[in-house]
Amino acid sequence: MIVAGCDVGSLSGEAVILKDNSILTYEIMRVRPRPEQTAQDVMIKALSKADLTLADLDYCVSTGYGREKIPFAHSSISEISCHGRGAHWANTEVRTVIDIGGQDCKVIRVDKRGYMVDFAMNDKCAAGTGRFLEGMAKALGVSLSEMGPLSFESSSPIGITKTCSVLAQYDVVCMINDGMEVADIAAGINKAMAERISKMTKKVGVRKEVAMTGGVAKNSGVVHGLKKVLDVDIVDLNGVDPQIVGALGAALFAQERAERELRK
Amino acid sequence: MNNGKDRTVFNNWRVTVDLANFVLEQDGLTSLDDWGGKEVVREILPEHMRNVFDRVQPDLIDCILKDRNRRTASSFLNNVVKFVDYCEALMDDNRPVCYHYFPISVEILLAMGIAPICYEVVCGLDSALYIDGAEAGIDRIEAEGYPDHLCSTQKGTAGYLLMDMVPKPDFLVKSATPCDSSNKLYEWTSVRFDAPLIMLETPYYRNERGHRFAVGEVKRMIRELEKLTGAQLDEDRLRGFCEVGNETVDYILKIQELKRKKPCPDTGWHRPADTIFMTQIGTPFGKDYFRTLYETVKERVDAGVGIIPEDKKERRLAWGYTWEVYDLPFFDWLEQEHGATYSLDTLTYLSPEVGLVDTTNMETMIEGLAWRLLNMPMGRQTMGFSDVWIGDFVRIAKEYKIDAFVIGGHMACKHFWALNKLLTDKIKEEVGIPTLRFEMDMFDKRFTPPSELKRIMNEFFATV
Amino acid sequence: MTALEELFRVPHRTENPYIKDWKGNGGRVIGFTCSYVPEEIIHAAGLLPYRIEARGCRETDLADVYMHRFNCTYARCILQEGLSDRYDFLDGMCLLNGCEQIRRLYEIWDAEHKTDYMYMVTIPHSVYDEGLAWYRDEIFNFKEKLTSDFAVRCSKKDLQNSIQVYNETRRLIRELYELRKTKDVPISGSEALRIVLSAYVMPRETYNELLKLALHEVRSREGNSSYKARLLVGGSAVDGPELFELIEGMGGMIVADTLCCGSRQFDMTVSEDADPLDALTRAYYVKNPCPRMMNEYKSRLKYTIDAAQAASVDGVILQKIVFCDNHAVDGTMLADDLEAAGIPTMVMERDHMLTDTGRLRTRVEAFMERIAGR
Repeated sequence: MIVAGCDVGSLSGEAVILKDNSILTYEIMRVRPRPEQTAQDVMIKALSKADLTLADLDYCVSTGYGREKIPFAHSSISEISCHGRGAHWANTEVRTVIDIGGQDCKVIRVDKRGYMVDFAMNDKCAAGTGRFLEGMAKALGVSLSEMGPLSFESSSPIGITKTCSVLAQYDVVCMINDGMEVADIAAGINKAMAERISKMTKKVGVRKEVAMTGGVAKNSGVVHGLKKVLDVDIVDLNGVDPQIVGALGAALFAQERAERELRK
Repeated sequence: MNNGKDRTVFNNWRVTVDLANFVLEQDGLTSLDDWGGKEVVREILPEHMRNVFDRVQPDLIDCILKDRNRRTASSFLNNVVKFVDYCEALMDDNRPVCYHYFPISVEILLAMGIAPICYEVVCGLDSALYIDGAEAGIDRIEAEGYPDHLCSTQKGTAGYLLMDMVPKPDFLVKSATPCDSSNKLYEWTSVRFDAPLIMLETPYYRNERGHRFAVGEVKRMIRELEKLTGAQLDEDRLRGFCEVGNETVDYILKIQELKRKKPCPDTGWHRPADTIFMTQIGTPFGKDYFRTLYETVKERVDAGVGIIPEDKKERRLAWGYTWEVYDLPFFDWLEQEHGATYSLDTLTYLSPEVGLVDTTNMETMIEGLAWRLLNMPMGRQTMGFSDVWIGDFVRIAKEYKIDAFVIGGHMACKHFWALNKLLTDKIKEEVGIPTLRFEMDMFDKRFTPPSELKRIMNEFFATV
Repeated sequence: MTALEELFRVPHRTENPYIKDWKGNGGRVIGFTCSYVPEEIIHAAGLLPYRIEARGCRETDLADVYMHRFNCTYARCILQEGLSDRYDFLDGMCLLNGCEQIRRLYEIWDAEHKTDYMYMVTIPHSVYDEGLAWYRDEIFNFKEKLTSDFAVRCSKKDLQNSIQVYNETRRLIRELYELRKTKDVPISGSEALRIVLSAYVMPRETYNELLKLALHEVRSREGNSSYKARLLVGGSAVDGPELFELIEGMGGMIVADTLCCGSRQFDMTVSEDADPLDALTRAYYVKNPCPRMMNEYKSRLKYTIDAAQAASVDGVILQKIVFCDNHAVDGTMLADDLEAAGIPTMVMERDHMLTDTGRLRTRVEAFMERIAGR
């Protein structure tokens, strides 16, 4: 059985193709202007890696911001459930998932089967999201992937204005003008991110094991900061790219639904 | 009855004051750099002070070491400890702990042998003293899901309560205005720690009807406290505290009068300290602090000097609402750097209308305390229509010959943010002075960091 | 158009035919901002009470001149509507110190001379005997001032009559809520909300007649049981159907609420035997409390649990408008206690203007997936 999950977010789109409960191929790409375009492109790319076409799919579940607009998806499920499910598949010990996406941050608690039992999601403010981090990296003149390693060079992280990402970005510009060390600012940004996310995590309750998903999970500075504030280990996803976990979860739901339909 | 076990915060204050006394006693020491910097000083300190020293704001130490600040800083800090000693002695004696709101006068609590801990002072003082302020407490309660738009002054203390760093309340007393945020966090405390909450309603009108109602409220508070403690309020004891309170109020009003002088004879960093001791009106410590302040200010006036350097032109500021607490030396910097002096603000301005408490009998004392309730800083301005607030500040701006109006707007004060245009428009219209307005969180430097405060002020003085 | 369809309309305030008729006949309209203002007083004086709302408000540019981004968007939207002249039909305005943000509308509204007649009723922040006496005096003073300034009568008999009219509304709305407790729900939450909100925009006698007819229609409707979850919505004031429509668009069915313009306002009865002013003040003072009432948390929790159980809900959504401290604290406390009582609960932040709907949808959907997973 071949099924797929498609996650269209605000910054990137991902597709995962599953065959008999293992990952066949996947693809990540930057979003196009319209979600259906992103979905179409990323799915076809992923499928073509395995010489497949849309017609080969038994079932497809969409998730993410654009989930309701994907023409080839059979149904949609919120990315909150999908991230929980995907992370749990990658590492069955996982009970808490911290997902930091482009404009959202979510903390998801799952049961031993990988089904979501509780969650928290950031409010409107973008502070504590991928977009925030991206803006900061831009202000610092470094790439997103450099933010983590860079912050480890700092011995005294700088305090970043809390609450508003717009103000924080302004702060960063002022700091650079004041000649502060880029590493210290980067470390301060990562620390601020980690602190903000840790509050949401504590609200949902930290159950071991804890995993991180979403693009920001690739920022070692934030991961390290979270480990420190939450005083827990962040477990590894056994080689699964943290950025595809939402699409993976959607594919797992697709598999479940396809099986259910088969039984009918 | 007393269940206060954890006194971490109090103990930290005590060590901090020991530390301050230690550095103040060093002959000829004027700054940490004099001694070779923070690291060198750390080595000289007695062992038990070092951990706290790491947390104390270095600029604050430098600030209190200045000649102009030594005397009042010492009074401020040592009276804090005396008050803590006083409360702890009551707790050790199994007397109940009452957390109370800062615009409530505490004579009645004192007379009933209740340990009065001001909810807001716990967070405020930590914010003023330490590099990390009360951030641990604020973060702790936010991690429970309580949002960042609530007022940090209660959030810090609420977090400390959850962290077992301060004694638990046996009950709470809150006056109902100005804000929902404070009310709700008192209610949260009451529910969470199963401590009865006595709400003192502040009427919307400061007229005869309002006063009569407030008298009834104070009587109800007494009745409820008597029920909770099983003891009766003693008239003579109350009189004793009211008399001390009257002397204190008298000092406060006299200091305010002296601040009309040009150049201003008093420093701005006293204002946050004033608030702390206004919550202790009726105690010898509050009186001692304000007396020291009065004598210091009076000496300057008699000598014809101000707080700013003689070569600086004075710029007289009134803070139309709040100040910040997390960087007290900021006010010293304003005075020395910009010649910008600080006259009055909403949180410490005690209107002369407050008057003294007539101590003839129980009834007159209750009437006086009820009138005080309607006139304590902030309560007075915020409990009803905005004309009181606006009227007070138009008058202050005129009478104190204010050059500019500063509004450091505390982000949590929603009632203020809905009024600030009316206030500043009126100031402009009637007094014709400029207003500087910026956002901050009074007790959490992470919102508008000290460096940002200075940048804002530098820019303001460059343009005005 | 049937009565039900008529009640679904909830006309915008500038195109409200009832108000046009009322004013055309020389009637006068008094706006009020809070559920602690006893409408019966205004009604008994022969004036039309209109609960101030900001339905349809899409921007706050004018209001932002006076109010700051830290102020809740409900207060700002009301102000915006006022400053945009969309409340010019009001002949008077009665505010209440319900919350610290709405109460400040008084001064701004006054400064902008939006309404000639302004009044402020105040109510204590907790429930006790002396507080009741204060509130009664406030209501009495309001009545006296209103009748003298508008040169109208408001006799004991007028008040008794108004109490009967309003009790009739409350009884009918409670009936409507009863119908939603069944498994096959004959009317969606957003439809029911439209009916409830209509109570505030037309003469009450007309409304009662329409509602009686509408209830017949509702009873004869086929019930709907194809929903993902039965929900109760609580929290900040909801003055329009959009939020409910969003939630129900994701497959939820709202069968109960604890809103100030919804069940809380109608889940009470004013005594028709006692002195009318006493009866009114007592009923409004002790009704199911707004979170601005201190020392009432436990009764709010009980009210929510009772309402949730009576309507057999699967989950509770406590929505709060950003910067509303009352609902922020209360909602967080309630969520913990409701969860402990086995009722899945989600706290959801929103603006008054329904922006950011993608995020809201995700939350609602995930919440229902959570419920389904149980």
